[in-house]
Amino acid sequence: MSDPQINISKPLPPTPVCGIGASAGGVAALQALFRGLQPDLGLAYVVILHLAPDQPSALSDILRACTGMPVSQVADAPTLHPNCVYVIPPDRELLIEGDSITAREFAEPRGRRAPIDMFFRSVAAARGDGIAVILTGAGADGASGVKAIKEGGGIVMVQEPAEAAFPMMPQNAIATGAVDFIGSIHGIAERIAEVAQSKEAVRSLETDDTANDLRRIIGFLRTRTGHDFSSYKRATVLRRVMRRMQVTRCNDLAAYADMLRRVPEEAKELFSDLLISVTMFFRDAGAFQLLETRAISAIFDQANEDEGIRAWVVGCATGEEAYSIAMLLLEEAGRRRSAVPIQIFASDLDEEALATARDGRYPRDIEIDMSEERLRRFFVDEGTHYRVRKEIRDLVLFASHSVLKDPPFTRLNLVSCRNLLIYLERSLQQQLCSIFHYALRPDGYLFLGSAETAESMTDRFLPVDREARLYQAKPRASQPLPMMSQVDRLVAPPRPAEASRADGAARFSAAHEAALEKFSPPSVLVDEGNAILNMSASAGRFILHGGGPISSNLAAIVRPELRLDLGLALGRAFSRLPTLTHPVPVRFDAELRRIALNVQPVVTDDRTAPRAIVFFLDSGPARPEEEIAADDTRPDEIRRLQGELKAAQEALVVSRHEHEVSVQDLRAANEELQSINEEYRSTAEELETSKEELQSINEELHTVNAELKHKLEGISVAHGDLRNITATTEIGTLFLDTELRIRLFTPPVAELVNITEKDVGRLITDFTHRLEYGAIEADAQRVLRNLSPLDREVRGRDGRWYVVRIRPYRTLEDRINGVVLSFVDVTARHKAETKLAESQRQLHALIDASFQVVYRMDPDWKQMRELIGGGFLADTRSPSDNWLTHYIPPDEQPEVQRAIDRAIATKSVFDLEHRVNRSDGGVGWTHSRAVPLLDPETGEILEWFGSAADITARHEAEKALGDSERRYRVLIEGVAQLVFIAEDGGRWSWSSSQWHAYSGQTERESRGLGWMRAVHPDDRELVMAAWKEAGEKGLLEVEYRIGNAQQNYRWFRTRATPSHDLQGRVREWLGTSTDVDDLRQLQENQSVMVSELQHRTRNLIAVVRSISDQTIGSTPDVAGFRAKFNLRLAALARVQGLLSRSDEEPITIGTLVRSELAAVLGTAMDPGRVTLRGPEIVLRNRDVQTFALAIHELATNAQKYGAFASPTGRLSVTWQTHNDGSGGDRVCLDWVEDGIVGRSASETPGGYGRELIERALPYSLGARTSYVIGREQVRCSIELPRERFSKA
Amino acid sequence: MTRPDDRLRARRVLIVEDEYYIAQDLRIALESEGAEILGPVASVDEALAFIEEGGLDAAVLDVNLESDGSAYPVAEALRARGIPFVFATGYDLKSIRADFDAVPHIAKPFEHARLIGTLSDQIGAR
Repeated sequence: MSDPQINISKPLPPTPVCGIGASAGGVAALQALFRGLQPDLGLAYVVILHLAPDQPSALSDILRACTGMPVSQVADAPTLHPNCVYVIPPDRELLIEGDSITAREFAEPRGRRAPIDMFFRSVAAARGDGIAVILTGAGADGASGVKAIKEGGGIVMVQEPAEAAFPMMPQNAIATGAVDFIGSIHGIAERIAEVAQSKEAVRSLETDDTANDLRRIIGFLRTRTGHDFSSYKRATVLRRVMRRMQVTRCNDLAAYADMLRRVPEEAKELFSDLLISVTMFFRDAGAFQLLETRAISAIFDQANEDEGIRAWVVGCATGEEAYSIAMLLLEEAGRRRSAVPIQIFASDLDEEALATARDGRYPRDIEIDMSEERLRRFFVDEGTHYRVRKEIRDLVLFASHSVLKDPPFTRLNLVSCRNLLIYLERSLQQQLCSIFHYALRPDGYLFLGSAETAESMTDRFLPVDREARLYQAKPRASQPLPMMSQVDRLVAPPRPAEASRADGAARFSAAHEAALEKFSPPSVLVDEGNAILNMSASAGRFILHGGGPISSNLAAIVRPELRLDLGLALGRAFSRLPTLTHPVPVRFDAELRRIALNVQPVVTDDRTAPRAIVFFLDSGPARPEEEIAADDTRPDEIRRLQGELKAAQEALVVSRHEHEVSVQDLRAANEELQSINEEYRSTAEELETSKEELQSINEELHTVNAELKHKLEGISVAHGDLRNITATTEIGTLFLDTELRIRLFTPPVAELVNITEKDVGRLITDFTHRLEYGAIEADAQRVLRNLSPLDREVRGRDGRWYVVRIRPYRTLEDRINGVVLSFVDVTARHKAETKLAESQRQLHALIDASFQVVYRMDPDWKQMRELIGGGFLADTRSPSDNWLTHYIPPDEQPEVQRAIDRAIATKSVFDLEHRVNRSDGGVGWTHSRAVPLLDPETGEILEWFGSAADITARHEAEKALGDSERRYRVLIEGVAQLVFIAEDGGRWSWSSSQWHAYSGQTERESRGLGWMRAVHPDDRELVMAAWKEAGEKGLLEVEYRIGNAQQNYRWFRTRATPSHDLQGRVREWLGTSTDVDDLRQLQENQSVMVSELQHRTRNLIAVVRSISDQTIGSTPDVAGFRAKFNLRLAALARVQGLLSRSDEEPITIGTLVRSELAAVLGTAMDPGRVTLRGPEIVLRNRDVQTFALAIHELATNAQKYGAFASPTGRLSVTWQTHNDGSGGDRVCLDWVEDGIVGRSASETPGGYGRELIERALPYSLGARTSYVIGREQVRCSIELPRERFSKA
Repeated sequence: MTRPDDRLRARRVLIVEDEYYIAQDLRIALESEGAEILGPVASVDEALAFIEEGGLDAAVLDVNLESDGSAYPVAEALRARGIPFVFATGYDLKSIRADFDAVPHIAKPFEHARLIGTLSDQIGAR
């Protein structure tokens, strides 16, 4: 490692470095970071990523896409430029050298490489400043690097572990305590910008006028923390302060000083920053190597068993150095097989660092600092960390201790103080070296840092190895502890305010001081120990050093003539009393001068040690004769007195000197006591820790105790339970040990064996018992031998039965420790068994007596275990596998097998009527029923137990019944009706084939209310209602429509009557449905006919009335009326007669004309006079009446006035159909009478006939008529339209 | 018996009756009350022709016309026009179509007074 101090004094290089370390998950994090970074911050970014050594890296290309800054992979040794990104190449580590960056091959084997640590350390060493960023990654690389950066004055930022893809690397960095900022990548990017800016600002203010502010800051720090850094190197302090300013974003010292005053935490932060020191295991391996070879061995040579080896590591920080030395010592002790006790004191001011050190837990990257052997021997691998083993931890005592303030440890063999002196000013370095010298035993070793030296203390230390900075203490004389007086001097520097005045004022002040110095008496400032703190320029001549070591004690080195007075005066001065002594002649080299002393206490504030200033007042030359004259001029008495006085004074001087020497010795002893005290305090702290451990052990013991108590309670409860069980159990239990001595027994045993509680411990064989069991000892021995339990059923002499069970007694640890005999009274069981046998016998008797046979089957019916009963089936006494073929006729076997399978599958009753081979050789019927016997535990079938009854006779009866039923069925199916059987409410249970044939339903479909589907939807409600009522009426009678398969509905009359069971309840309804559709059709026709008849009758009556009205109107007398009316009524009656037969005999025109003529003319219808001719033309019934009346009128008129009134008259009636030309046939009837003679003009037919022909026919029949009556001829024609007739 | 009144006077009454003598009977009876008779007609077509022509005050309908079967088309036409009418029929009441239940019904042979009374009531009720 290079020395950081060398670079600090150089001007800062122009390009600040921002080192960014990342590992697993780092590429994405780096991309995000560079996207967020402004490209003009003036930083040179160096990216260290753990790359695969044998693969080319595309990282620079990736990052180039994320930032506007130029990105390059480091090759050669490029000079750093601001706003550029430098990326690590694969299989290389990076180092900063000057203002350029170098890639070199790894020095460490793969797996122990830590390129981030390496680079950060080089930045810290080369620059003492910079920004270190740790992003996501696994492992601990970078953790020690960030500490170096921080120590060097750089800023450390770490990605928030929660955000990082791999939080280990950030966590390890945070654990060092060196981190200034933890945040998201975005936050880090912002923070880098701020720091870069404030770095710029801070750098620009390095001017002289910082001194005052710096003093202020140190002053605050001292007030706040009690530690004084004024003697630390100003550059160092300033560097640390500036680092804090960057972190807190203060741009000038005054502002920072204000903030320090405002924010209490900041003082602590600055304090710990000032204390920070980087340390590592075996830092400067070469130096440690030399320490081991040159010093350690020698220390063991020096050591004596009583005192052991004592070492002190000053400024131990997080303990690595202390443990390193402990390892060296232990290794040496191991080599020498020495049991010399080793004690290492390790001190530091930083309590946090001490806590880490005491914990002894270090990140994994320490593996690169030491050999694997040491790692294995001295550390425990805890996964993410290594922890120092107890062996080494116990050697080291960590104490919070200020080497500057507190008394040192003493009688040490080795002091290691590395990289502490470099921070201190030279005078303080020397004083510290003195302290070390004081603390060391003679020939003890001092081990300093690589940049430190004890060369200036050649009087105290002998260099052992300059390169390793290893020194050996020279043996010393009795020597006081060097006082750390500088502490006081520096706390209150003389007139600090004036010192910072402008140059002019300072110049006057200096001139004034020079003048004062010149003209004021020589003076010396001393402290309470009379040590010279300062001397004026001319005071030197009052000092006259005697022999021995150089001393600063003014009272000891002032010219001898003044020593007495000065000693007294100083004593007064420290009691705050000024003294002006009488002048005393003092002989200087050439002359004798009168010197008076003015000793004044110096008033300072309370905290500083009292001081005094001594002025030497020269009162001019003394006369030499004054001295001599005294001898001459004084009388003898006086001379004698003077001589005595002088002698006394000399004696006093000697005794004072001795006194002072002893005081010094006492003081040294006191100091030593104080340091011992300090040691005790450390020990006390350690003891405190031990005490806490003891307390926690005590806690644990308490817990264990409580648990034990709990267990004990449990045992006592168990014991109580056991006693109660013993007392109350009815099972005799006897515990015997391996020699068959009685250990424990329950009361029932006492009834069997003649023992009492007192006999515990005696041999069981010594006692008699009441059992018919002679082999009890032999059995117990056997169980002990074979370890297999044994059961015996034995009878007591009182007739009771016992089961004796002998088992080995197994302890909880499964050891055999005797036997346990239990005696269970099974008398009841014995009785039960006897009873059971009895009942079994009875059962067999019963079986023999019954008609049924009883059988047992194995669970799957493969085997018949037994069949007995001696009845209709042959017995099977022994298990039979072919029972099926034996008992069941072949064609019945499948059916039986199916029933068996079903029963087995459902574990339910087997119940089947089937045919069997009877014992008499025939085939009969049996009703067989078997139940499964189930295992109560598993539910598995154990056995089937069944019985079989002979039902052959019943079957035959049933067969006869079936035949009878079949006959009835044939009958039922033979009748025309649809037959059904229904339950109450109309639910059919059976329907006849007629129903199926008619409705198209199957028997199944008709069941229940299925038949309803065939019923006409309009009638269903009616049918249901009828069924409802039927129950009460005891009869169902209803007519409804039933449809066939084609949905053609016909009317049916349904009748059903119930049949009853023996209790009189309706069992079922037997019903028939009779087709009444034709009947109903006829009935309907009839009703139409009746209605028609009524219509006709009424019409007829109306016609009769009309005829009567007409006839009355045309006949003057009643006799005439009667005659005419009767004739007309007769005609009407004839028509009705014809009409009534018209269905069989359609009424034709011919029929009608012939019938009317016959009626009117009687038999007088001479064919010679009457011609009737025409085709058979049928008239419509409704028209017949009017037509017939018309013919009747024509015929009557013909008889009275016409053709038949004269003997020559002839009548011709002809009719034919003809086409009228307009598309319709007409029938045309011509009535022609001629040959009429002697008719008077008055003899004309009445109005009724004419009206009938001329008016009524056209009106009612739509006929065209003409009726002409001449003297000799009557001509009437009637033409009927087509629709009024039809051809026959 | 209701007294003859002159509610039928000058009323134009259509007679639809296929039996000539009955038609004449009706005509005489109504004419004697001073009514003016249209028809009588024996067929549905003739009857509808009169109704089409308009000016009817009332009608007497035989339900069963010999030639055309039923006279219901005529009855519907009359009802549609709000012309009062009565049925004259030899049938029972129950053989009249149900939707004409409300139409008065005179059984043949008629009593004249009853016919006239009923018809008069119908006209009057309009």
